[in-house]
Amino acid sequence: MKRIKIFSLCFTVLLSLCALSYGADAKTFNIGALFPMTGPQAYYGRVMSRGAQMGCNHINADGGVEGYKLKLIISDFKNVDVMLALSAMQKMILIDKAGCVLTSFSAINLGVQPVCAEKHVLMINGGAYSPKLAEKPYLYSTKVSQNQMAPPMLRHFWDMGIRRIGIIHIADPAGEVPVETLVKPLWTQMGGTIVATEAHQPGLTDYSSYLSRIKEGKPDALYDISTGQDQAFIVKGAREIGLNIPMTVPDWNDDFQAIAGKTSENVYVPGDHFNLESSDASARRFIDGYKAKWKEAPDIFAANYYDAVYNMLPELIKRVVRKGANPADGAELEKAIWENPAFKTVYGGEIKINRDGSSNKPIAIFKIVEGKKTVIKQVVSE
Amino acid sequence: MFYGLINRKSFGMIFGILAVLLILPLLLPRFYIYLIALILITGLLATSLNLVLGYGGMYQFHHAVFYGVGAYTFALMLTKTKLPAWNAYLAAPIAAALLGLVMGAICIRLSKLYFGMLQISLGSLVWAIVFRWYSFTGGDDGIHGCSVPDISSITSSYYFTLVTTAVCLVLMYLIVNSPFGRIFQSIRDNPGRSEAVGVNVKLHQLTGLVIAAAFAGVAGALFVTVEGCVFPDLLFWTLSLEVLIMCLLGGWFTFLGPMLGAAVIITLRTVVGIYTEYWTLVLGIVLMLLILFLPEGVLGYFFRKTESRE
Repeated sequence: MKRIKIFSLCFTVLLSLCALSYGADAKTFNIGALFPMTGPQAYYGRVMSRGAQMGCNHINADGGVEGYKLKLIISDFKNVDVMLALSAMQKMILIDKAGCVLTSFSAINLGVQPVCAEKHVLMINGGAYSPKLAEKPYLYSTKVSQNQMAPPMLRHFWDMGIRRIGIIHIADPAGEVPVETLVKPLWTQMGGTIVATEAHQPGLTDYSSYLSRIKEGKPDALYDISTGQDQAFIVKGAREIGLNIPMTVPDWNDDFQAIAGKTSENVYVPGDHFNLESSDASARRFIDGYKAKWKEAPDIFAANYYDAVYNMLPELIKRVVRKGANPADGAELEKAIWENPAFKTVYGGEIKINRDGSSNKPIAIFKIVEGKKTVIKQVVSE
Repeated sequence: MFYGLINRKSFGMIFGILAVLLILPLLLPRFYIYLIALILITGLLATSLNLVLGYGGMYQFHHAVFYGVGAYTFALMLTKTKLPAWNAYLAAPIAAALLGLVMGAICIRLSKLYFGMLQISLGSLVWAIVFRWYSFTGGDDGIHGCSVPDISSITSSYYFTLVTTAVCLVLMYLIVNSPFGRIFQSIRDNPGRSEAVGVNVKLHQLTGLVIAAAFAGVAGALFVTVEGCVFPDLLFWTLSLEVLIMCLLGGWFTFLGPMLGAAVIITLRTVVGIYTEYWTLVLGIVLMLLILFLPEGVLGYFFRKTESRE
């Protein structure tokens, strides 16, 4: 009797597991999303998922796209855990039958890209900006890369009369590669001098030893390539040891501002130029809707994923359906990009996808003024 | 302290489990087959750790480094040489065992927590080399697209993993129950007395470390077979901690306990983790209850109950 009970239990579990894979609604287009929802990078997961979810909500409220309702399936990869991302990706492909996934963070993009390439799943990255993401099949980025941000920033420093820079970067290839292949060659070609280069351990709160060595070289400006809160602690630490020179960091947000406080003055940030005051109707719908729902303004990461879900993906689905093909097939979605690689964007105008997977869109150099990112120069991305 | 594994009842149970595992690909969606393959690989890694932790009483706190070295050796052999894949399957455990020999020879001079701390330091050094040697290991990118042509599909890699894991488990079981295994356990229980009766304690401990490292290397090669990629996280200390928890959860004084622990943790991480951000909270509660009510782990408790009933 006991054995029969155990057998029945196992059989039921097996049946329910089998049923899971066949229960999907045929008119639902599942969009996978790999975000860091918990851990030290949770800020990014929060804003990215909110942007993507809002995109889904707006499309569905408008009646869907070609009869499909969009559904966002979010998977958490914690503190950039590639193993977790790999198994989540398998689940999104095999169980959820996602034809498109929204990805973030360079290590995660690079880790799951071969899986997506093999299974023909389109990846749209709106967060990672490593130059290593270029030329990867099925991977397309709507975030401008370091390759696009470094040249205008260095030119701006040059125009400010800066000739000697110190470099501090995260001690891993994500920091080393852009420094060695981009910042150093560009700056020396321009005739500038690099007085010191320091590779720092990530996740510290005190960077004074690295910064003191840079200070010895008497730089005119500091170029930082770090990630997350490290940037804020480096800015704060530089000011504390009297390094009151112009600095540039790859990213800035309210969480970092809370750490750096008044020390963030004279900090420059090159990056995607998302105008919160935009008068464009679709941008206003996003900005106002986001503010109303989350009681805060959307940042570039929220905007990038909203763009991916609201502007880019529906257009691709339309093109694929028009051809009579299956939009859940990532290969078809990828092919559809090249019918016209320009898409509407909440940044204003169009975002153009390049053959190497990067994109051209409005970028700007911001200066932190009284804790707020203020545009000082608009640039056309190269 | 240890509970017997093979008697008529458990023999039948093991064959039953094997039979179910063999027919599962016919019944389950491919994702669950992939998941079970991951459980088998991680279970093999945890069981290899348990050889030195549970049976040897040695605080091997950074066991994942051997797993990672096995995986990297396998991936590098596949991508940088034109040798047939079976060479890579041989090279992975050999490289891991060699690293086990070098690290073991250094760490064996210390004991208990000091052994564990030195082990973490040396393991982290290996991780740092892999992480920074961009031209050879791919740095933080890792190495991708290194699948074995004949067994690259989920079902075939699952069967390959199942057979390899079963063979490795049988080998480990034989080792544990061999004269060497008995001496190894006596060293764990009383190293001083073992030495007094003429046992070369350090040599036995070093041999145990090398054997465990070799099996971890096999697990690493299996990981690449299933995932087709490697990255530095495989050698990071947090994975070692996770594997240690698997041993404690399943029962570190039982042979198959770590396998059960791996099943619980991987399922929680993958299935619960997909549906809620708070899967670590679930794991935390499970661990807390376990420490309070089942300090010998799930299988340890089960075997103790069975033994006392008999």
